[in-house]
Amino acid sequence: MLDRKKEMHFQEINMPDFITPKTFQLSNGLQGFTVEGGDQDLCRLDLVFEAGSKAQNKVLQASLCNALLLEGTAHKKGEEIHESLDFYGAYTQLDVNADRAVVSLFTLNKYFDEVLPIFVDAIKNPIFPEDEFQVALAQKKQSFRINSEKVEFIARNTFFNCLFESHPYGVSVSLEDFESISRQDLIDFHTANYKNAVLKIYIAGTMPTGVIAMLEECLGAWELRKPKVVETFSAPIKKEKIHLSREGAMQSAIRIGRVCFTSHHQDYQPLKFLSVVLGGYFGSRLMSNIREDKGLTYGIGAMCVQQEESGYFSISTEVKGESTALALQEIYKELKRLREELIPEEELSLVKNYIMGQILKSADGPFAQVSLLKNMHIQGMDYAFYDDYQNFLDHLDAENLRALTHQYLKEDDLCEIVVGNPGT
Amino acid sequence: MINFEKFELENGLKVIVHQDKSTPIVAFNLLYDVGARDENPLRTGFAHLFEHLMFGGSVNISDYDEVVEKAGGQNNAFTSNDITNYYITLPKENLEHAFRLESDRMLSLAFTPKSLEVQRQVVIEEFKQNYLNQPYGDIHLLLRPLAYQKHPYQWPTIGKEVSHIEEATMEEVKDFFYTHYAPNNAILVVAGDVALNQVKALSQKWFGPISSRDTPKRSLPKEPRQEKARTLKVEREVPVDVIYKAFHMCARTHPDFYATDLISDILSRGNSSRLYNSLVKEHKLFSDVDAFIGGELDEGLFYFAGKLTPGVSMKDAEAGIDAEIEKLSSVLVGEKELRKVKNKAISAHKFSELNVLNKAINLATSELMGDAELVNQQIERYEEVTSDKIKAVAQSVFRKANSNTLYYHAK
Repeated sequence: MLDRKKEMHFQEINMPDFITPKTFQLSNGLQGFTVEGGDQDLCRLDLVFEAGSKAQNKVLQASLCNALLLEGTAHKKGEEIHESLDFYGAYTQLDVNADRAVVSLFTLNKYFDEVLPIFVDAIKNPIFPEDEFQVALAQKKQSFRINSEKVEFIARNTFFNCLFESHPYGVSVSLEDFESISRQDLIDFHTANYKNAVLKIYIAGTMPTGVIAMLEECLGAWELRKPKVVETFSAPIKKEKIHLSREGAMQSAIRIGRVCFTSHHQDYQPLKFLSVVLGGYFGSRLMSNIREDKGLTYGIGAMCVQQEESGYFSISTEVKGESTALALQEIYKELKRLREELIPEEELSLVKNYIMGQILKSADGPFAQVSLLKNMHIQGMDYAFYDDYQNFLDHLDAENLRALTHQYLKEDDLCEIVVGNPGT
Repeated sequence: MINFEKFELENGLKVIVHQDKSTPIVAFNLLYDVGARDENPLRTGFAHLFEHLMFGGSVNISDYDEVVEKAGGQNNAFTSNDITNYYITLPKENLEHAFRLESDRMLSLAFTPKSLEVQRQVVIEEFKQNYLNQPYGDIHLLLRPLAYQKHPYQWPTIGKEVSHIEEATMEEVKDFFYTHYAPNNAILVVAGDVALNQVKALSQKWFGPISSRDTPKRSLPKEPRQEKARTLKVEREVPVDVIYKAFHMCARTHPDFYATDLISDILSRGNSSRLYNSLVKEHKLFSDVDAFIGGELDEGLFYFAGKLTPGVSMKDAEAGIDAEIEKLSSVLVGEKELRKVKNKAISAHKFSELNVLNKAINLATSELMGDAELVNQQIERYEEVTSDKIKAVAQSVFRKANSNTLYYHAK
C-alpha cells in the first residue's frame, strides 16, 4: 500500500556543469565569448555596451538612443532594415538599464551571414532620423503617462530617488524631460558611448560557420577608445518615510529598503540569502504571512540587488488599501523576527535547496548561461563566483545571519514609501 | 521536432514523455481540461479561484510549496478560458516528488475553510491589482460581453465581478473539484532527461490508484453568427484614448487558424509590419497599435488595439484601421511579404522549442486539441497558407457586421 503521507528523501542539488565559455579577440582587441551548446541551428548574439543611463548627461538620452539604433542609416531607412531582418526570421532585442545597453540578435544559423552585416551596420551608423525620433518620443511619453497612473510605478521611482538621489540610479523621468530632449542628444550619446566603444561580444547556441571571421569583418576595424573606469558609489543611509496619497486608488504600493553594496562586498551573499528567507520565494516569510495567512495582497517580495556601482535591498508589494497599516506592521514584525530569532536549521536548508534549484534552472542551456555570464562580467566576476556561493551555502550560520540583520535591517535604517490609499 | 511517447493509464490519465538529455531540469506539466468556459455564469472566476485553492494543501500533504522548494523546484499554474495548467520544474534527481505532490492533489484536496477564506481575499486583490486599479485594466471585462452573447467566453478568467468570488461556498468548491479534477480529464507531460519506463512506473505507482470520475461531456452554447456591428463607448480616468476592435474568428483546431494567425503577423509582427508603418509612422494616428488573436480553443476573437496619438479623433483612428482591413480583403498579399511572415513564424516556433517547459506545455495543449503530434506539424501548416487563402479569411473575418468596437475615452 502506497504511503502518501510519508515524506520522501530530498536529493541534494549540485551546482550545474557550466559550459566553459571560449574567448576570442578581434584584431582591434575587442573581446568575445562563445557559449556553445544545444542541438537546434539557432544562435543568439549580444553586443554589450557601456551605454546605460549612468553614461547620459540628459534624462532619456540612453534609452531613446538605444531604442532607435535600428531605425536608419545614411544608406538605409529603418523600414528597410526591419524588412530584411524580418524576412530572414531574425529577432532583435534592445535593452538598457542604468549600467549597460545590450543589443541582441536571435537568428537561424543558416541566415547568420545575411543578417549580421545589416544588424551591425545599423548599430554602428545610425542617423536617428527626425521623424523616427518623434514617433519614438511620442510613444515613450504616452507610456510614461500611463505608468504614472500606477501606484507601483510612483512608489518605485520615489524609492530609488530617495535612496540614490541625484546619482543615475536614483533619477527617474519626468514629463518635462520629453520636451528638452532632441535628436542631436541621441547623436551625441551614440558618438560618445557606442561608436568605437569597447563593447563585449557574446554568442550562444550552435555556432554559425565562420562566425568569428564575420564578426572580424564587421567590428574588427573599429578604432577603440579608452575603456571607462568604474567607480563605486556609496550613498548615505536614508531613513525617510514618504507617504503619498492617490485619490481613488484601491491598493497601496509599498516599498521599504535601503542602499547596500556591489556583489564584491563580503556581506553581499548573506544579505541576499536573508532577502530570500524574508521574501524571495513563494513560501517565504512575507508571502506566508501577508498573502497566505492574511490575504492582504496578490504578491509580496524582498530582494537584494547588485548594481555595478552599488546595490540595494528592497521589499515591495501592493496591498488592499484599507489594510495598509496592517501590512506595514506585519512587514516590520517579520523584520524584527529576523533580528531576534535564529533562522531554524530546517528553513536554512529549505532555502538553500530552493536557491540551488534556481541556479540550476537559470543555467539551463546555452542561452540561459550566456545571460549569467554577461551579468557576471558586468559585476566584474566570473564562474568562481559560484564556487564561493556554493561554499557559502554549505556553511550557513544562523548566528552570523542574525548579526547581519542588526547591521543592515534595523527598522530605523530603512526608508519607507507608501503610495495609494493610506487607509487611515 | 519534438520526439515523444504516449501511454494511458487504466483510469484514463494520458501521459506523454519527451526525452531531452541535455538538461538537468525536468518539466512536469499537468493539464486539466477545465477553464473559465466551464463555469456557471453566476459563479464566474471559479476555475481560477480553484487554481489558487490547489496550493492550499491536499489530503495527505499540508504544504505543497514547501515540498517543491525542498526539492529545489519551482512551480506555478495558470488558468485560461479553456484550461487549467499546473507545472513544476525541478532537478531530475527529485522528479518523484512531483509525482507524489500532483497525484495527492488529484486524489483530493484538504478543503480547509481557512484556505478558502484566504485565497478568496488573494484573488480579490488580484482582481483589483490587474483589472480595477490599473489604467485600462477593465477592457476585457467590457469587450468580452460585447462580443459574446451566448458562449461563456463572455467573461474573462478572473470572473465577471468580484461578488462571484466573494460568494463562493465550500460546497461549490468541492463540487467543482470532483466534477473536473479527475485522471480521465487530465494530460500529464514529463519532459527532460527521463526514460519512458521510469515515467511509466512512477505514473502507475502514484496516479494508478486514483479512480476515474464522472466528468460530464462538455456542451457549451455556440455563439451565433454575428449579423450586426456592436459598439460600446466608455469614459475613464486615463491619460489617452484607446480603441479596441474584436472580430469573431475560427476555432484553434480549424484549418483556417494558421492563415488567421499569419494575418495578425502581416498586420503587426515586428517593426516592418503594416499597422506600425502605416498607422504609427506614416499617418501618426496611433502611438501604438497592435493586431493579435486570442488563441482560444473554441471560436475566438481577432483583436485590434490602439492607443491614439493625442489630438487624433476616434473616428480618424478607426478609419485608419478600417483602411488596413479593407486592403487585406481586397488586395492579394505579395509573395515576399507572405514569405517574410512565414519565416518569422517558423523561427519563433523553433526558438520556443529551446526550453523544456515550453515543450512540455506545447505537447500537453496539442494533445488536448486532439493529438500531441500536432506540435510537429506547425511549420507545415504555416507553409501551406497561400495569398488567396489569406484574402478569403480576411474577407470572412473582417465583415463589418462581425465587429465589436470599444471606444475607451480619456475623461
